[in-house]
Amino acid sequence: MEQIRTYKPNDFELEKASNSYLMSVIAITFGFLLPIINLIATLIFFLGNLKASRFVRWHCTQALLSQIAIAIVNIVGVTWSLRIIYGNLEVTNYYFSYLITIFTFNVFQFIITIYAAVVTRKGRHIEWWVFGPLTNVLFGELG
Amino acid sequence: MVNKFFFHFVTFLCLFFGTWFLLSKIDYNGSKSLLILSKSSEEKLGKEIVKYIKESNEVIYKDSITDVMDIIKNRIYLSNKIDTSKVKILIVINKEINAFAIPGNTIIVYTGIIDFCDNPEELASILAHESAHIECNHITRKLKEEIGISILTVISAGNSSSGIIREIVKTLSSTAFDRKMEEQADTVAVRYLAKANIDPSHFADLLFRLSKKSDFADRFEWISTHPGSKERTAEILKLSKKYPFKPEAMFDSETWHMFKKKVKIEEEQDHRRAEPSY
Repeated sequence: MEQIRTYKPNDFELEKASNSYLMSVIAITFGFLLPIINLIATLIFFLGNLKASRFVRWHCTQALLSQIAIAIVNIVGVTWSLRIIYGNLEVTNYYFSYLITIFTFNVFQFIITIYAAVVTRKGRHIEWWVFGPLTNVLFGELG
Repeated sequence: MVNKFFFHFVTFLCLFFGTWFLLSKIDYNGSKSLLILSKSSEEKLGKEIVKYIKESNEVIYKDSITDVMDIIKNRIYLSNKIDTSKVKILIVINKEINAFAIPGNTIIVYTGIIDFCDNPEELASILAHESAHIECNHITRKLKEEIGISILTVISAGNSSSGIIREIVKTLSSTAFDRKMEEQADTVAVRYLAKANIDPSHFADLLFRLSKKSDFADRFEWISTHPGSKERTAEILKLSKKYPFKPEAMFDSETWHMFKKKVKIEEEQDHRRAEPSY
């Protein structure tokens, strides 16, 4: 996951890059019920750093992409729950197992987000599975 | 770079769906758990309920009446490959326009609803609908929700008071199935009727006439657990287009009217028996 790069970001950049991950974590209390909130928080931070350095933008992009993925799976879970409560869907084993799966992924994402925030602040470049390569595809690799 | 992304992405998807699939193998609903009524308990409970109904109501046993009911039942069951001995029908003298299924695969048909039906196809629709509730296992599910599994188990073991049995009969005979179960029973009933070459529009006609008779369902539809009869009628007509059929008459009108007349005679005889003699 971690990769050492030749580019040495300054302290200000390290803090900003770290904050891009913290944005999703700060909103987590509300985001669990409204998955879109985490995404909005990360998106706002991303948009606010469009003119920042490449290092900061790369990490904002990675954070945003991971939030989009988690928001999609969470929205499916919330919609499914609402359709059971207010609609005519039945509670099935698939529903429960989906909830457990997304909960596990949310917890895992939370842990790696905190980890990413901490190690990025320390100056180490971190590329996640899926989102790291995707960010590289969209953004180009950080040299 | 792109290859690396696709590899990671596919692995992630496999991990996500694999986890979901494996976890779905665990039974969270408890449908296979102890929270079910066993077949024998269900039958015992059904026997207790039948015993109570026979003690508190007059039941018609006359062959000339029960045979007609059996003909209607067999027409539906044989066409749908359902074992005809699986379900028993009990005709109870009661002016209420009602029919309901009870545990142990018995359908209680009140003479009031026989009188209300204009033709045998309408009576067939009622039997089809109640049979659908039995096939879809709605009765014990409903009782479990309303009364609770522990009480049902106690009753099926023979430790019951008539008060509890009365409550169960009241629960089953009232329009207490939820919207989803009623919709499912309607869908299955339409299929049964079509396969038996009975025009499902008779079912729609019956519901329409029932809705006109009772304003309650329409006015209080928003708190009712049943879909409004107008909606049901429209839905049934829509469903009947899905299943092809060639309508075949059940009996001639003379047989039907004779049947209704005999039922009426039984009702009157029961009424006379119930009148105090001075």
